[in-house]
Amino acid sequence: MVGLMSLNLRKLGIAPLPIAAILTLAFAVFGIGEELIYQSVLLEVLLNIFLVLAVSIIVARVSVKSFLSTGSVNVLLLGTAVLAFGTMATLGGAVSSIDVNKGIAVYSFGALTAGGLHLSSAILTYRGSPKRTERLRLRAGACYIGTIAFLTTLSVLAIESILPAGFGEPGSMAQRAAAATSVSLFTVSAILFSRVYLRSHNPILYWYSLALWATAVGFLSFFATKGNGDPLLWTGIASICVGSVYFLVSILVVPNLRSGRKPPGPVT
Amino acid sequence: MFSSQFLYTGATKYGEPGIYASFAENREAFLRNMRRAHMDFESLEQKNLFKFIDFVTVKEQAIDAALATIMAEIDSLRARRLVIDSFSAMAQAFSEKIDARIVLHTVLGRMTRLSKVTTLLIAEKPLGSESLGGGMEEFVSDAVLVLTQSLERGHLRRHFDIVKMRGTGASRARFTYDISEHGIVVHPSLEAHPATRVFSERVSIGVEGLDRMLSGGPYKGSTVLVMGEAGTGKTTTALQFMMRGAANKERTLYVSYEESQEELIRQGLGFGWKINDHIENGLIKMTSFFPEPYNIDSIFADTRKLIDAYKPTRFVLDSLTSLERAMSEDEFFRVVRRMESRFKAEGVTTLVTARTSEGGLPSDFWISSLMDVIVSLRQVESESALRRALVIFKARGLPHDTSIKEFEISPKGIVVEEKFTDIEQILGGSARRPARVQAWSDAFSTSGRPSRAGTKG
Repeated sequence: MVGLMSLNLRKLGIAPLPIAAILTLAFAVFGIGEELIYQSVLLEVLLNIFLVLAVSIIVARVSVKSFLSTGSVNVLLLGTAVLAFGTMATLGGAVSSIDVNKGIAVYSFGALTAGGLHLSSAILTYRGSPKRTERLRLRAGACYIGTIAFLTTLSVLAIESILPAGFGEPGSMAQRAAAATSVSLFTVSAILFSRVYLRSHNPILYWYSLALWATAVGFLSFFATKGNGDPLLWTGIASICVGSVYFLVSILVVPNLRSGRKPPGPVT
Repeated sequence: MFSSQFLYTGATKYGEPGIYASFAENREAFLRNMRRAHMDFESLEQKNLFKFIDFVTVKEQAIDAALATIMAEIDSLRARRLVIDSFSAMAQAFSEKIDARIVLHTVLGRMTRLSKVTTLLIAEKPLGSESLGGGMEEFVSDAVLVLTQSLERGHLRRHFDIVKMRGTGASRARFTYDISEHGIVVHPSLEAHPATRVFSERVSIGVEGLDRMLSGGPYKGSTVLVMGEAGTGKTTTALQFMMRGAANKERTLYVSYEESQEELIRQGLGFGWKINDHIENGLIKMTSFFPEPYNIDSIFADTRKLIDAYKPTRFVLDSLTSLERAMSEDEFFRVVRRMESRFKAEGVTTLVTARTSEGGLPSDFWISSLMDVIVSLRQVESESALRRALVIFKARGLPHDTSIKEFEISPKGIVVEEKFTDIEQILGGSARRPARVQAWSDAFSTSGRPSRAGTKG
């Protein structure tokens, strides 16, 4: 873990972001690799469940514990956002195995939900979050269960073809609008968390901001994608996976923080 | 007092005449002292059941005459009991120690045996001395009873030891006794024996969450220790245990060493428990006193009498800490072990409370090994407020929940909630959030806005 904290590793953490951005630009603007198509629903499902969902559960768990002990609303929103992201990835992957376009529709709505929650959390963190003292368990339960229920309902609606079909068609106006909005939400969130990091120099915020940047780049790739299995789609998936790894790193740097910097004080 | 009681009881209860041969006090002083102890020896004298022989001024030359007088009075009164008070004083009349031994062994011993007289020789035991009297009495006598006293925690304690009892299987335990207005009262020994009768029925403590943690409650006859700092809810738990008993139509005896009955009733009313109603209908009996001035054995004996008379199925002792303060560690251990083994055999489920220091563990409370169930109540500081934690340290023979649960003292009593997930190191006494959660909270509690000082600076 000491290595994770080193400055070189932090710099190395930035590297995938410009690479993904350049690849996205190359594939989208110059049309490089348009003929390369690879479709694997199984791989998508595996990545979504074993990486994105698993990481989102870990982050959501730490966040809810943090909320229960501090009552900070921004942390609860952050946990809800990450949980929404993981649920979106899992349900989207599952629906994709039935119908790829319906799966993309679930991704689109899930990304909007997660992006909105992240932005709310980022704004509150930036401005100074309010704190709750009562019914913390109830609030946390309502947020987490409500988010999962909402995305599950969306998935059912998608399967039943009740959701507008345009959200699931790559390159369609609706899908691009959803992706562009998600990119905006994640980008603004990333900017706000980065600004908070620049003041605190807390490594957790560093890796968390990078995770949001990577996710924003991922949705940028989804925005530009022209069809299932094209290089832009895989660049987006790769960026999302890198983002998940960074979310996980933001959790893992904590023990190092305890031994290397200030110890956690007694509960006050 | 002991020897007078020996004669008085013999005469009044068994019709056995007795003689008091005194080398220490005269007749008038003796009769006056005995009247104070409600022993009327004058009437016994009139009935020829008692004779006081005054040898206060006897010298060595007159010992033979004194012995002859005693034997003559034995024959005359047909005495069955004889007290020589004291042989130590009598022995001082001899210039040679051997002469005292001869008198004791050959004259007194043989003569009284032949006359079938039970003789009680009083021998003085100087303070700090290990030997009795002149050092020969204990070898010649058939039985040796030693009465001693000591100052313990500011209170005089009297002890009674049966050092020797030829031909019988007398208890070797140390007894304690008190001198009451009716004479000497020897308290029953606190010897304990493992309970040979056990119960498999479960009993509800009255705190639902706690019963669930104990997979249905402790076994009937168990001893449950509820320990915690002041203000953690020990007495409330005890009252709740008592009220559950009343709800089940079971009798509960509540002995409080800290609060008066009135205070406990008022405390119960705060939770809507009408203790008075159950006292009136006989389901609850409360007694309250400070134990410090009393002998531990008398406390135990009195409690025992209360239990025998009231026959409760639940017993509350609040708190052991007050009892512990009033006695030595050895006595405390004996009384708790005795209580625990007797109540277990009789199926009386007992709940005892004990006050501990902050973060106290069962290992700090050395009688915890005697307890069947140990429940610890704690206070945890979190977010500038006190939260309460409950953990079961021990539940002998019961599957139980080992998690640390949060509990609340609600308007209806103790309510056990979920386990603590946001705080760790509660038992270590330095409650803190888990490191990961702490760091996560710290990271996102930092505002991105420049502070006013930062802007200026």
